[in-house]
Amino acid sequence: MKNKLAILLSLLVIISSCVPSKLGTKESLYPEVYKKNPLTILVLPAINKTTAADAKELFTATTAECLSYTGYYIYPTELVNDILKQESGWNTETLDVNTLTKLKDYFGADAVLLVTINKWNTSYYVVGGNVKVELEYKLVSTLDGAVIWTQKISETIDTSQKSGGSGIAGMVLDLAMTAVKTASTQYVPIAVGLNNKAFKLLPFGKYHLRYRKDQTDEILNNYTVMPSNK
Amino acid sequence: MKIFLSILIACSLLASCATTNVKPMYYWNPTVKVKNKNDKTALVSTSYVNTLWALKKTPTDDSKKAYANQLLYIIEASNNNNANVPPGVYAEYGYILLLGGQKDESLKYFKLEQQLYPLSNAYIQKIITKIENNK
Repeated sequence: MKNKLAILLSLLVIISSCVPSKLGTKESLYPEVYKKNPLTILVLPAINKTTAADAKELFTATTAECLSYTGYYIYPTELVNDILKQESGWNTETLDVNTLTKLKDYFGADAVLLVTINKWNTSYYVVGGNVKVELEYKLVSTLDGAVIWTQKISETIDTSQKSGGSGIAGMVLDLAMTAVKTASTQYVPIAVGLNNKAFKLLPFGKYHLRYRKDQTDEILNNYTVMPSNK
Repeated sequence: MKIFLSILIACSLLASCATTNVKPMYYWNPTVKVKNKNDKTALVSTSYVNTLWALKKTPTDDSKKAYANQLLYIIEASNNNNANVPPGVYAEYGYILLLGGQKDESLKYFKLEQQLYPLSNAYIQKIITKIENNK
C-alpha cells in the first residue's frame, strides 16, 4: 500500500511540474486586443536603452518574421524604415497621438509594436559567457494611443560554446570563441527565441486559423499557453 | 490494475504537453536547391533573419544580393507549397527592384502584395501611384 501511494504521489509531482499555475485567459488578460480588433501591425524601430550597439538593429531585423506567425498583417520592415526616415516629424520613440494618426493614415496600421531593450548585458568569463536581457513589448492602438498588449521578458541566456579542447590551451580557445560568438550571429537565435516567447501570448490575428477562437486559451506563469478546444 | 491505469493517464497527460508537427504557416526559411562550383545541385537551408541581419551589419553588394535572393526563395517556396507568401515579402522585393531602377518589375510585385493582402492597400496604392506618376 505504501508503495502504491509513493508511486501515485511521484506521478502527481511529475504531472504538476508539467502544469504550472494559470494567470488567466487571453481575453481576461488582454481584453483591449479583442475589443479593438487590430488587423495590421507596424513594427517600429526598436528603442535601445542599453549601450550594446547592435541591439537596436538586431530586434528591428528579427521581429517581423516572428510576429507574422501570430496572423496579423505585418508591414515590410526595410521599406517602412526608409519611409519613416524620409518623413520628418514622426516621432516613433515617444509615440504622440499626432504620430500615431499619421501612421494610421499613411500605412493603414491599426496598431504599432514597440520593442524596448532595457537590458542587454554580455559577460564572458574563462569557462563561458552569458547575456542578461530585459525586454518590453508594447502593442499600441493607433486609434487612441492606448497600450492594448504588453509583455516583459527578463532572462539570462548562456552563450558559452564548447570547443572540445582541454587544459589551459583549450580554455583560452574557449574564451576566444565565446567572444566571437557573443559578438556575431549567435545573438540572432537569442533574439528570435525571446520574440517567439513573447508573441505566443498575443491573441491571434486574422490570418491565423484560430483567429477569434483563442479567447479562453489559458496563459500560464511560465510563458506558455494552454489552448482551449475551440 | 489501478496503478496501471493511473500510469496510462499520467502518460497521456505528459504526452499532451509535447508539441505536434503541422504544416508551417509561412516559408520564411526554405531549404533551396543551389548549384555549387562543380555544377552539382545541393540542398541548402536558408534563414531570412540571418540574411537581413548580415545586410544590416555590413551593407555591401553581396549582402544586398543575398537578401534579395532570400525574398525570391521565400516567394518560390510559398508558391510551391501552396502557402501564402508572408506579409510584406512581395512589397519588400518590389522595393528592392524600385531602388535598382526597375520600375515596371517593381510595380508587378507591389500589385501582388496588394492582391494577396488587401489590408496593405493604404500604403501600397500610394507607392504605386507615385511610381506611375514618375515614369
